[in-house]
Amino acid sequence: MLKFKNCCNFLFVIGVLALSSCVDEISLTPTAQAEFLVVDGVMNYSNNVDTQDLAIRLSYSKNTFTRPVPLSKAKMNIVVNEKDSYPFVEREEGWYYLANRDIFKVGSSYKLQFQVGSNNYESSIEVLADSVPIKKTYAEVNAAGPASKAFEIFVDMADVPQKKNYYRWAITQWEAQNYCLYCYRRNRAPESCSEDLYAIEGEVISRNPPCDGNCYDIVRLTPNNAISDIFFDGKVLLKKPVGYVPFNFTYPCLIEVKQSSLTPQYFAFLEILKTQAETTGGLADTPAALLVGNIKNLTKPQEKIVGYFSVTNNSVQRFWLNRSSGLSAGLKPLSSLNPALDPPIPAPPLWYPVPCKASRYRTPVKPWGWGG
Amino acid sequence: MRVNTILFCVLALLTCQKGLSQGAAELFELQGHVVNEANEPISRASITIGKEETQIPCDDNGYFAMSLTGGTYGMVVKSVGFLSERFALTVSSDTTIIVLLKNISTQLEQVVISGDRSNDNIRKPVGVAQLNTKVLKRIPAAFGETDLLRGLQMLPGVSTVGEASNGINVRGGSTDQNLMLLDETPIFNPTHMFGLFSVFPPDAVSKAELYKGNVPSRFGGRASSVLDVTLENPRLDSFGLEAGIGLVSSRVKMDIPVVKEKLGFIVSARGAFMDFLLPLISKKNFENTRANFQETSLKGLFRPNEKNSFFLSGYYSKDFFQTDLLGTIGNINAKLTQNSYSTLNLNLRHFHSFNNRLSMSTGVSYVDYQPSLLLPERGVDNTVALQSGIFFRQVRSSLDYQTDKHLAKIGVSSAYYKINPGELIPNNSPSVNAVKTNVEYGLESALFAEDNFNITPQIAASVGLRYSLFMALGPNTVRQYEPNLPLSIGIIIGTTAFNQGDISKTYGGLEPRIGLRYDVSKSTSIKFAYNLMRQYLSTISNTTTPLPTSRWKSSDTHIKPQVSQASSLGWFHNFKDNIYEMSVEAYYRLTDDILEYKQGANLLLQEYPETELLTGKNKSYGTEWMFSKKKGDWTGWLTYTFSKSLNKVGQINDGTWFPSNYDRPHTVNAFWNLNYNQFHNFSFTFTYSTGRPYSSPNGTFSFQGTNYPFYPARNNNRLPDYHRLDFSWNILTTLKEEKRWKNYWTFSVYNIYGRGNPYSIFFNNKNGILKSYSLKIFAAPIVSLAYNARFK
Repeated sequence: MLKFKNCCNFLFVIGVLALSSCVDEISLTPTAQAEFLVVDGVMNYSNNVDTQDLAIRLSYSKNTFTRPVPLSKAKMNIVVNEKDSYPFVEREEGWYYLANRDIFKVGSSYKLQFQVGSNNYESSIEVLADSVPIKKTYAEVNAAGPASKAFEIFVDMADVPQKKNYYRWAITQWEAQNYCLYCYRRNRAPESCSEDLYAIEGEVISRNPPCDGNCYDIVRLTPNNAISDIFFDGKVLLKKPVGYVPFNFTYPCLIEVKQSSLTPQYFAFLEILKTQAETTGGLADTPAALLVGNIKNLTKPQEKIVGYFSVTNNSVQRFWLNRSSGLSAGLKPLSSLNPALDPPIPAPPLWYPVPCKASRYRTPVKPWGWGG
Repeated sequence: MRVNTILFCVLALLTCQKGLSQGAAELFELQGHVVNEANEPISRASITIGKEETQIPCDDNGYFAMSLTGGTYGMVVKSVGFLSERFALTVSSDTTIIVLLKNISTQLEQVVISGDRSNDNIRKPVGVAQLNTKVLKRIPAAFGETDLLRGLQMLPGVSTVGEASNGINVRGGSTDQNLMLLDETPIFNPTHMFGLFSVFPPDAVSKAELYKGNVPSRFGGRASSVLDVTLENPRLDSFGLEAGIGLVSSRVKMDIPVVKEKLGFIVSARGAFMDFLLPLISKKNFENTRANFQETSLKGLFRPNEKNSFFLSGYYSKDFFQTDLLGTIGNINAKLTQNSYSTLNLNLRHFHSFNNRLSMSTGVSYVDYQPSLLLPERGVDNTVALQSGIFFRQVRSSLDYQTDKHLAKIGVSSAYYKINPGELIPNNSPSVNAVKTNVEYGLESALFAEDNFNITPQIAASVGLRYSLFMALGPNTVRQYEPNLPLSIGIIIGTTAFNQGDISKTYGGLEPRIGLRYDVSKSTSIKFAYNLMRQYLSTISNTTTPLPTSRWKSSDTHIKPQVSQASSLGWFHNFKDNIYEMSVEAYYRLTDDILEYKQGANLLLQEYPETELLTGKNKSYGTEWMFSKKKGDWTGWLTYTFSKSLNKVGQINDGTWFPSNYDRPHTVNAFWNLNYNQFHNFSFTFTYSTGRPYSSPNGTFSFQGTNYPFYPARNNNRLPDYHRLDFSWNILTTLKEEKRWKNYWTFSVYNIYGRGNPYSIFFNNKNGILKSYSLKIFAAPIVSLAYNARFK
């Protein structure tokens, strides 16, 4: 069942070294595989329309450790305060966008409903919390870390007293992009190439047609950094680390920090996710168990659905990150968004420029805040 | 004089109370006391007298008594760790003798393993394991450090979740279900350096008994087992000094007689403080790793006369460690998490002998366990502290009465608990508020009685009854919830406040302890035991092994005590003059009201933890096979254990039985010790066990840009099997008896063939891709050399 790729070769010379013993990557082949519906259903509202993210993704996970299969042609709507219903539109395969952006109000309740074939699904009710302003966002070079974690992003904020608040911070990075398609084999026509940023590990990219005009890659970094103000109610939170930005290139990029105010139920769900995926593997790991979200199949109640629907209220700050400080700290840039995707090979003359196609991961529109 | 020449003396003899007997049938009283060179009682020594090899029971305090007709008798006195003695004794009147046995621990002669008596395997109650320090020092250990808990793991029925386990699991029980006593005081955190070493000072321990089957009624408060560790008593005649230097820790022990034969102390200290070297070895790997500890133990003995003895025991330890392998508190903006904890155990006991049949022991205990998390904050020069603690005070008294056929004990005990579940101390933090949870108070009292007697010449019984009573005390506030619903904040219907000293909830009940032995022959016996045990104090932890800072919770209105019922049946056989032993034991244990976390629960500073917990059942069963050779140039044992430990808690795994974290069905242990000659001793241990359960995903899903594993069930897979071979070589450099300084070296190799036994398998994102990893604690051979010196 287990195949060890490599092993540690430490020879411990004194005992306490064992406390920092070795961790090996292994190849795990599960004995059984599951097929389950995944609802990535968090709607991130903010006062600034440019920073809203009101998309929901439906997919099926069919194979272990592979990308999910998008679930298209579902009928989806959101119910506000248990009476008004608003539809979603599927703009990309498996991605559903809310058509009406003016339905969000602090204190209102929201419920997701969707239909897949003959199955009707419904979430529990989530209530939109108030947003809390960010005081300051900034980055520092993480000289000790790898280039993928070269810049650590921090936030200063003041918690609202006498009120239970739950926060999460997400980072979005905009990178200027020169290549607008990725081809996985040599000498393929552009029509057979993909604009998907996220290739499966191991796929080799050969040639990349250049962009026709401006193009910006959108990289979303969403570490599960949710916290409760249980211990700092009403206090100022200084230098809260919220995530890392990789050292892709030496030239600057645009960074957005989104501070989400969460519902207590969604925070509890994120806590379980964190426990299962990020705090296991230590000396005292927590046994994982079946993760249950807040969505049910009304037609077949026994179906186990993974994921969560919630609404968050966000404060947003953007800043221009000058990455030359990474060189000063002795770090080397990765020179690509993803080494497996964007090898530094110049585009050959036979490729003609292709337009930058707008998607969830790319835009031809210069983002607000670009250039500082 | 040969080194292994048996030394024996009868120090005092003949206290005549009557004239010489005139008739051959007249009975005389023979009373005796077995002691070591330090006048310290040797408990439960083996006394055999006459051609019929009549066994005389010897109690915990070394006393024995019997009636016999006048004449000359052959007598044999034996005890493990001491040189046996045979002598002739003429009885012509009521007689009192004191028998002195010489300790063999200073020499490297043959080691007699397991049990106090040569036929102990046949006669001792079922489910009792013993380790003496002589055997313990022969078992190869990691980094050359003699370690009681690692030694116990070589016995059948004792296991752990892995090499960094903060405790042991006995017959399918959790770590907190073991009552660990150090000179009668409870140990709440049994390890240093998060499981690498046990807290029991190896040089100061004289004996350890593990009761996993037939638990005497004088013990209570835990559902699974009792580990009764006794500190060595001071010698009252001469100064002694021992010291050792190892790769991890160094230690020293001093035996200080203050008033000869009246008052003496034995002080031992151990410290590990080499962690400052870690960043020098690898700054990248060990920059955030620190681990050190210091401990001191003290045992004082004051014996003003033959009738009275006073014993004072003390133990203090202080630990500090930090490692990135342990989690932190997510809601505090800290750059590090440091664990710091201290233990102070004190015990004072008075022993009074009314006569050689009746004695009384009275003691008071004080324990203060103070674990804390230290959290240096980011951005400011301040450290936030999370402090918790357990304060324990106990008084107890018991009467021991013995006749030719009975060894009886009756007693009472009362323990007072004060538990601080947690207090967040911000110090000068601009970002953290002070948080304090209510202190819990409880009183646990017990009456107990036990008797060991023969029903017929072939059938012996060990019967005990304990009545325990626990009272949760105020001040506290108890919530009321709507009945027949899972407890949650949403169904609170009221609260009741209790003032200081008020009783908010009472639990209690009888705890029968029954042991039966049927002697099929002199060399074969069959034994049965039944125990009921109640546990009023539990660790509530959602990790595979509890942290030193894990919360202890006493029973209250909503959290019931754990109640365990265990039955054991065993077959025991000795052969070749008790040199070889064989045994097979089977057990079944059912425990009600075990505690588990709800998914995602957070008990940190939680005022009302009942809403975060689930209760359920555990059933454990198995068989334990053991073959051992106790005497000779080579000694050792081979054991096989089959065990299952299953939980059924709430809706976890759809409410079905699932394996507990420490369910390891098959275990094989082997220990082989060779005394090559008087200078060299070699030992090997081999251990194999099924890998422990872990939760394995059968898919992944992407949520908010991150890939997560999908777990279909709890503990649905197993780690690879665990196995390991160890070796140690003891080299005695000084043998002559007249030399006051003796030195020996211990060379050991732990994990000879470098097996990388996984401690856990887990999943993490690496550049957006979910990957699986294996954590190994000791993934390479560990070679160590320790130097020990003894002055006597």
